Amino acid sequence: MKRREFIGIAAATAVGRGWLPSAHAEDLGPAALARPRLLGILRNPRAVHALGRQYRTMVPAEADGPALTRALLGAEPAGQDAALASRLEEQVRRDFAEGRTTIVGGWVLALTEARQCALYSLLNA
Amino acid sequence: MHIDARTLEAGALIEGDLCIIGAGAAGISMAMEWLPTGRRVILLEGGGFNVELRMQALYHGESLDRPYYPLQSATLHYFGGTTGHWAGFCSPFDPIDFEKRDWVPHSGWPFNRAHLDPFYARANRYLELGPYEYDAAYWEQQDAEVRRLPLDAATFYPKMWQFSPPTRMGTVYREPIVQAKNVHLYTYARVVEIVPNEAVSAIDGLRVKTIDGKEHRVRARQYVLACGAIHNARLLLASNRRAQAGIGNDHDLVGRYFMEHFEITAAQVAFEKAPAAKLYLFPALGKTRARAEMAISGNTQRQQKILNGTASFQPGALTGREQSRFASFSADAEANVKEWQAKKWAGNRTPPPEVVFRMFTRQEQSPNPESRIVLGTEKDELGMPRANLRWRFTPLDKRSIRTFYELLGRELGRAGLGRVQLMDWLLDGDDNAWPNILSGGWHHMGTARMHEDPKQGVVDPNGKVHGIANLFVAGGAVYPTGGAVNPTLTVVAMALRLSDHLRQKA
Repeated sequence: MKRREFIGIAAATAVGRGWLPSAHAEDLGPAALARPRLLGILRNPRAVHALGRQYRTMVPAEADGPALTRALLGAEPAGQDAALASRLEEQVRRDFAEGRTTIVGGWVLALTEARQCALYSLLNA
Repeated sequence: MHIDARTLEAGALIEGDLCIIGAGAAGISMAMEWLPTGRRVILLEGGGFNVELRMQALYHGESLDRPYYPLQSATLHYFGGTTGHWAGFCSPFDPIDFEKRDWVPHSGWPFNRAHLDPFYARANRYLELGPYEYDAAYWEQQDAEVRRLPLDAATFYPKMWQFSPPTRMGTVYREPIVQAKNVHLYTYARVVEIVPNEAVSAIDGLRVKTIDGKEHRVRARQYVLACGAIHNARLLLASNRRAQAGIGNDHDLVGRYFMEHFEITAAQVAFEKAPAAKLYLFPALGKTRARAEMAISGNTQRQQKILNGTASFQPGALTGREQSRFASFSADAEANVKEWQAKKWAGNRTPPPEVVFRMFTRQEQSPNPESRIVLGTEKDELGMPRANLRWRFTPLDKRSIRTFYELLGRELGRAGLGRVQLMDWLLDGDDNAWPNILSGGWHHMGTARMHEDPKQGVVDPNGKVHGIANLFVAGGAVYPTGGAVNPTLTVVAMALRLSDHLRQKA
């Protein structure tokens, strides 16, 4: 079975139209924040959306955009999108290395990418 | 020399120096070691040279607590034993498997892996394997395409397997044994009772029955029980005329600590790009069929306080239709043997460009005194009480599988290779609950465990039954713990070790 059949959900759905389609995107921070690497691994936006929604249910304190943005950025400014993407990627790697992981929908996710999924689900609600 | 015990006059007395009860992997490899000694060896096989349903019916028993393979077909009752339908998976136990681990109750062998290595090397030859090389680095040198995944070796490493043709010991070793002058193979000679002396300090003889109702006696200086973990325990427990609880059972240990391997689909991995997975997928490296499974290091087991386990990659995503083999494995042993002996084993192929793999677990079972073989009230055709199985688990068993995949998820994420999804059954919050997709490996271990202390083991470090001068146990029954890998290579290695010990005594 190839990747596109994985989980068995077609990509052409409302949540898979592209990046930041929501009118509220600017309120929810730079685009890279809501672009989890998991999208490239699962290639299934609906699944990523569902994981993000599940994370927001699991962690009510991080159920909204500002809370998730704060959790992702900490005290540091977002900076340029490309630099932010690279920073987040390193943050994900460090999360895995240091055991800051969470299980969402059975997937072992870095805390950072779980938050990114949550933000993604908000942006594509 | 071969004698069909049915052709003897009833009441025959068979005598020798060494009597081996059971002609499976352990019994045959021991007998082979005694060919050049000139000592008179009696090799008793309950069945004949081929699988027969009537003989298999003597192995019928109930699985009392949970589903298991039909006991009358899970092991084979003819010359060659269960090698008649094994798949040939071979790998040595790891050093940590021999250690006393404070988080694994009742763990610890009386010797270490290094002690067993020379016997493993000899066992490799009996099972027609390649060189005694189980370090992945060796196999990476044999094929430029064979490379391990770039993971932190302190956590995960490629555990190597070699694949026996698979050796059908009843075929490969029949001729040398039948031709040997000093090895007397008796077929259809089923031992129904071990008869101790009055003080129950030594074995005086054996009662043997044939399927057509004749009874014979056997006398030897030394006796070795090599009937497999279920039937070794059964015979010890059922030999209870002088020893009320059974022979070697003064401390109520015989039959307890029954162990299997958990074999179950537990997770899936989504790689970012198709991995170079030849090492893990295709069992053909040079002339030897070999491959690796993902294994968790001894140090990580110590840190996490978990059991030893491995995982193999199976191309394709979870389907939701994963199944146990318990229900599909036929109770008809003749059909099973026919099917397994007709299998064509995979050769060298080009790995497909898969990015998603199901992860199939093999894991040891924590030794558990409540997991046991017990005698039933029903008797078989020869009047022996049947052996029933109470296969019971502990929460450590399931927690270990879950921890394995959580750590694998972290490591694949850290390495930037992909992500791991655990199956729901690992996340249901109840480590006493198991899903109906669980299978075992047909691996029966631990019913006559080895320990220096008679209160903690049925046999001593040499395999001698505590308190009985001349009775030894071979095979997986003596394993204090079962390791993560299939037991046959270790069964043969341990049989060779026991053989050397007995030859020194002879």
